[in-house]
Amino acid sequence: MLQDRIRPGAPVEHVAVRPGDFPGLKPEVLVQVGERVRLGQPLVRDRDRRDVMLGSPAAGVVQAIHRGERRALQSVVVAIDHDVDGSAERGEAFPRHTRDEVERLSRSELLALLRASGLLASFRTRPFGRVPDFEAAPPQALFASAPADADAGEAFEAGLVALTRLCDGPVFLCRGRADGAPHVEPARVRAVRSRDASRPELVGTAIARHWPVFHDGRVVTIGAQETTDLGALLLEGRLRTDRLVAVVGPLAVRPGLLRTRRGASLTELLAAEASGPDPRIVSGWPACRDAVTEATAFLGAFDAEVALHAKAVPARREARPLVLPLPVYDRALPMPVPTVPLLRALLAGDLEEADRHGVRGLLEEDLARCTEVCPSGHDYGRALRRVLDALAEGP
Amino acid sequence: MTSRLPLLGAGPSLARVSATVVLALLPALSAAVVEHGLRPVASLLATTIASGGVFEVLFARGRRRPLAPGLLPTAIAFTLLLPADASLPQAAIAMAFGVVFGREVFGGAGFGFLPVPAVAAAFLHVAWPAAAGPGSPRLCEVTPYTSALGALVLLGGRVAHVASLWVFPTVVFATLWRVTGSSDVEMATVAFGAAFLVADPTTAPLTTSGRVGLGLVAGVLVVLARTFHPARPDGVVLAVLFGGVVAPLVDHLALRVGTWRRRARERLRG
Repeated sequence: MLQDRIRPGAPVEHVAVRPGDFPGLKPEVLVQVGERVRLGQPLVRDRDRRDVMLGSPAAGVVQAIHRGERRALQSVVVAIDHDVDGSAERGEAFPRHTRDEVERLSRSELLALLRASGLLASFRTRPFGRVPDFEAAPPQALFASAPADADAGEAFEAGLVALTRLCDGPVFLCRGRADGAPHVEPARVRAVRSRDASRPELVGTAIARHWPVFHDGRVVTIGAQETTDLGALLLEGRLRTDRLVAVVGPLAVRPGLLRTRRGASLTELLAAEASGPDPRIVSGWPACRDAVTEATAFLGAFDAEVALHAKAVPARREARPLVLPLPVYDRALPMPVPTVPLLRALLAGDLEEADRHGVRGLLEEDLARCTEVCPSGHDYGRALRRVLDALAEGP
Repeated sequence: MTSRLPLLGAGPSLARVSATVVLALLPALSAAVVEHGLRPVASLLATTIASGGVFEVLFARGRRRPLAPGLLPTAIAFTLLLPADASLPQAAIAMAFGVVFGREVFGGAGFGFLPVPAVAAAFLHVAWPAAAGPGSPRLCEVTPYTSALGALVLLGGRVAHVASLWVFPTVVFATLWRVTGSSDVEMATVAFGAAFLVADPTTAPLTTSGRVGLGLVAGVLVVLARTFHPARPDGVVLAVLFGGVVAPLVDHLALRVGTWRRRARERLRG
């Protein structure tokens, strides 16, 4: 059973937020190195949308603000102060609600709470994968993933109920065969399962089947752990910091699920998990990301897995012809879009053509499999992000 | 147990794609060697590899790009389309024409839309009509079963779509079987064309409709050529080329219909 495979991860001393996880966010840093911060205190805010902020994942002291090329903000690192972090006054206190009160919450109350707690950034839109604006552009439907473990039970259920208050349209719960979601879904929640019963329904394919957004649709998605965060915030009035992360990859000593915390330092978490020295760490689905650097070696906001690879061998420069029309691509992207023409349009940066082939329904994670199987070695996630950002900016 | 890698495995590399096609070509090549002897087949093959290789290297140098894999399957497939008594200069010139005008002028492997062996064979047919005439059978005209075996290898190696492989021979077999009662030897080129020209992984159509369209057009043309011009039972190469010209149009229409259907689904939901 899944529960048996979850084990506590090594304790971490540092956590961070990585603004790069949020496409389209123009970060403005609100703290300085050495400043003492509480759990949930805003570290970074979006210049364009003042209601979108990234809260501190722990109580402690700001240790570093990493900037990369052209001063792009890579991460804000907080050294955890365990004396404060374990105590009652570690963070902002939010009002507590009973389950019945959650059901009667108004949308504006809920949105105010999401903004104040920073949990608004747990949601992502399709198209474009950005932080949604529930008031200016209310979503037509909402898709939530089911949690892998059952201990989140009550909080997850409360979170689900809250989701139905946020969206006038249907709320879809993407379930697997044995997941930790409630057996009976709350009212207005529609459970959807994958055709292959052994695998949980992936959000991307669920959207394609139940509420396609290939051209002018607009939906919002939220992960299982983030829904649980929302439920815990409402029921207990506190910010939850737990995260479950799958450790995988050729160098993983004991592949499995680790319990750790939001934004955990991956070098500290994985120090004893790799079988070789100096592994190459990838946060997120292995094929669609770069290895982390010192500045970004923290668990990504939407990442549920980390992969440990052997140190990267410098890739042989391969001849890169166009995407060949091979059957592998069609199997790698099980959605009603023409795979090879779409991939070619992405690589060519042809916005119109990509738009015609349904690019708005996709996010990087959907194309991870295409990147993995591509015989020519292209990175489709990156090409997709360029096209989506250009489409989001408009003409 | 959580697996070490939550992946379904990486895809084939380009080198493996081309190795799979070479493997699929081996039965037909062996049959040609058994039928015509090792010497003529080997010398033709060496000539086409050398001639195609020279131009691939020249273009790769000129473009400052590494050499793309794919010369070997092209050379073998074209050699098997040659008449057994073709001269070496003829083979060299036709192969060079195919590589330059079927592939490199479009930007290299993966950019063209006509199978290179078919372009080269058509050039031979036009430049030396006597050499490619009815009296001189092609090297692949031994038995269709070797190509059928090759088709299975392509399917197993996941480098060809099912739709590419079956439509063309089915149209031809189903019609000609009734009209003329074709022999195995005549069918050999059809089977070869289906497996190695229509289903060529670098130039196959992008959509299922395009693949079916290419097979249908080529199949109907072969049947027409055999019915009205039985003295020249050799329409396969030209039929595949013509089908290859039509296929991008079918692809384009199919993609438009796909866009229209997705938009319609979005409007109808809810």
